[in-house]
Amino acid sequence: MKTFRLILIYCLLIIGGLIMAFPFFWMFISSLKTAAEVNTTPPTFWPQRLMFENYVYAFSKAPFLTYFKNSLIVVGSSVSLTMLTTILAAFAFSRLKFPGRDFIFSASVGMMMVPFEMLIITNYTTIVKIGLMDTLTDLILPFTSSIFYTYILRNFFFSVPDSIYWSARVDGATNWRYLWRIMVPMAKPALATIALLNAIVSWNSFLWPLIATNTTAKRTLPFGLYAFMSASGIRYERLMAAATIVVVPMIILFILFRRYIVEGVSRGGLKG
Amino acid sequence: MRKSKAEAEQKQIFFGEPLLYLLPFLIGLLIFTVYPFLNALLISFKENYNLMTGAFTGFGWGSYSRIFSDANFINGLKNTALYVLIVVPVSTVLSLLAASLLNQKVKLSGLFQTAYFVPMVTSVVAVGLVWKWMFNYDYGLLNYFLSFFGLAKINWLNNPAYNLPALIIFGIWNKMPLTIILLLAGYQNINPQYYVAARVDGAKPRNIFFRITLPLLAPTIGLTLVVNTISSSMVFMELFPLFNGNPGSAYSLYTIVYYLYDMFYNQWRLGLAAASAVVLFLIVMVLTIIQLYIQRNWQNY
Amino acid sequence: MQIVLEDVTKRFGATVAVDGLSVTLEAGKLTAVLGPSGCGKTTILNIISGIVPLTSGRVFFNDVDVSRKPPEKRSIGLVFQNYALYPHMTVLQNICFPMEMQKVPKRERLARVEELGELVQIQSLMKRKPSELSGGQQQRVAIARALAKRPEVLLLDEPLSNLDAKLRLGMREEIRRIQRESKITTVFVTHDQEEASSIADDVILLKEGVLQQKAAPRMLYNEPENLFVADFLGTPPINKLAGKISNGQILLDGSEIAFPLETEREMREGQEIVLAVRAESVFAGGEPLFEGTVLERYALGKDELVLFSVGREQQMRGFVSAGCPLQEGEKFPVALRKTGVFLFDAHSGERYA
Repeated sequence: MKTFRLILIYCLLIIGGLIMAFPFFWMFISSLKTAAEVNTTPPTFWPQRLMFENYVYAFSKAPFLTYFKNSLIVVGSSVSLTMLTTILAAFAFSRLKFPGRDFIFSASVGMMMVPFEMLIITNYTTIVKIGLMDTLTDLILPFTSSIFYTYILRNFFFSVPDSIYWSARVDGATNWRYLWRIMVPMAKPALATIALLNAIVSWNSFLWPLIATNTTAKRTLPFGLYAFMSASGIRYERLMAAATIVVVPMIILFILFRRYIVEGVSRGGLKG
Repeated sequence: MRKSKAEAEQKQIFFGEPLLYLLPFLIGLLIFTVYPFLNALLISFKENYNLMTGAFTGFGWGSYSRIFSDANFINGLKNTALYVLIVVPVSTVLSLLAASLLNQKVKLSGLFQTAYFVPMVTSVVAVGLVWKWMFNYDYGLLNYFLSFFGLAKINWLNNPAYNLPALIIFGIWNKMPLTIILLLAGYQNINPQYYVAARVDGAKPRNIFFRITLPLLAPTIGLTLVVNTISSSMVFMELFPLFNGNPGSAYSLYTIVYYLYDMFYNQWRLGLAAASAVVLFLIVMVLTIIQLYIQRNWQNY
Repeated sequence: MQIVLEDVTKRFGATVAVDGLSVTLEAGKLTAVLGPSGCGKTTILNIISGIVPLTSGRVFFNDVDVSRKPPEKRSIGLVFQNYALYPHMTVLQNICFPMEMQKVPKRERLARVEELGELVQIQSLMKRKPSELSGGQQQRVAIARALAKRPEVLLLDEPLSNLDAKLRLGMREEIRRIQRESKITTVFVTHDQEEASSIADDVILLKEGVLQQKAAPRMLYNEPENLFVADFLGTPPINKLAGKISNGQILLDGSEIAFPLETEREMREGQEIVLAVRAESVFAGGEPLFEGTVLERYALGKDELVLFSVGREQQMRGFVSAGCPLQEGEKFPVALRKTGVFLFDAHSGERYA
């Protein structure tokens, strides 16, 4: 009875897992097929010949290398800047005392309800007016202040006992040094979680690059992929190769840091 | 007298400093969130607004009355509602099943978790392309599987009648990972002593699930319902890979956000874009208030 | 360094944590701040350290008014109840941190760590993280860190209360030894009267933010200034017999027992009093003042504690030797020694004799 139950659980888990992960398998397999093999019935579940040329095509016919580089720059700068503003703000909101602190914080948290789609109208004008249209900077700047991450980090900072802070002050540390020497090292797990979530969101960002860039040289991967689809027509083996390029870094990131990412997502169900 | 002096002194030490810490965050927030939010509210009431010159002819409810008499917007509301009404319950039920399986003590749980969660971290455009490929009429996998059961092929992406179902299937798959994670976290917050007690009391596994697990999980389920409703209300990006950036094959699959995007980006009718954005905001706000209510009042049993 | 608190008051909203406290803590001594929980003793420590700003009053270190100096400028070392070691740093890094903040050269820092490691005996633990240490070891590290920058005052906030009973005794002696060796002015907050008595040169006893008495532990025990002080110190707690003044004598409530007591103060006829008697000041025989009836006997090591009734409604405890033949229910003559017997006003708690 017990073994039967266990077998059932494993069967269901495997079936479910296959369904959830299948698109990724299919994407990868299709990316290695020839054009002829892609369009055969019944479909083959393992390529007859490994067509790495599809990847070569994506990198040579479309500037996926540029997209990749742009994505790295945008994600890297966006994550570091966001971490900086988040750490400073979370510290002010949790440890420093000043009039209106709780009001400013509550008001900020309230702004979390505003969907990003509502902001694009004005943000578009703003970046055009300050001459940043179609630059990588405009893909970074609007996202450097994150209420959500500040909220998470502030809660973490709050959980650090007062006595640690006062010990450091008595030991001669200023607020600034306390923050960087004691608080930030202590918050490493929380910071890692935030940085990972931020990197994922930033990497997959599509709507804003669609609006705020218009030349190939400034595209990031998801928009580049979409442009590739529109431009090169429907050749699924090539599209799948390109999609694999976009998806694989995040899958690797997920496999490496699953614990942090899952923790971060389950803590902040608010933002998907 | 002396009292206020001492306290004022202490405050002087800390004053001004907080502002320096807060400034980078606040500047970004004000320029790219607070101002555009207020401005969108304002634009939605401006008649004949020109985004770049800032010119407009007066204030009024014109944009609102226009979007509510625009068939595309009404269509968008309908499609979004239908999408939410199917995606949210179905993905919740399936996720509940998956989460209770993942919550068992099994080997290779890390591998299983990776399989179940990975859609969450991947680009909607990229996985959307994969689904587009699987939805393909002639060579797509879905139709191939249908043929196993002797069913006719479905023209998922080019027959307008099947556009919404395709979007929904993709949506359910896409929403599940987050839902599973939240439910799994909820599962892990249940004190295992309840299960021991129930088993000692002679409860059967099915009874345990319906009498103990489900009630204790209710707040988490409520939370996932609202979170998913909010994120599903913003369905939009999925249209790009599936329908080449169009709202369905016959332009019949408008959603609220697609309408907003269309008015802003394609048609440059900013009043209408802003008005639909405000409607979206109000929907999100109501749902968020419900969410907060659930978190406050359901979670302390 | 001598610490002087001058009319110090601290209010948190409507509650008064410390009320008009004026007291001097002598240089080079270990002073315990003692009192029940909520009496403001930690607030006093935080006022001395500068963590909590004063509502009114002044704090002097020697002759310097430090009332408005932030903690880092007061030359103090601080040990919290939970030790507050930096969890991500090794023991060595923890102890070095205050010196780093003062930009002490590295060589000097390491020499100082060596010295402190020897003083608090943690030389072998330098590479460990706080989470790999026992409570007692964390305590030693916290003290070493507090002493690292050669402060002139060491402040300890309930440093032993997170340790188990056996370790507490050992650490108590350790703190005493460390203080003697370093000769640093030390303030030690505790709610445990035994701890305060055994460790301190002076004890400051507080109740609801008001100073009750400041004296050496023996003095505090032998010459309490009021009923609260007498009651707070000693195990078992001091016996309190209610009575009133009648015909110049003490008449115990619920009995016909009356006896004279010498006092320099004028007593009113009918004034309600409390006669407080330490358990060790009670003995059987001698010149009995009254009769007691044995209710219960408790073995306590070499002595036994006898609970007996006095009159109809009052009870007392006294020590007898284990060989004493008293049985439960037996009546016996009760005498009091000269020391450890006090007379207080029942309402004000003021001491009369």
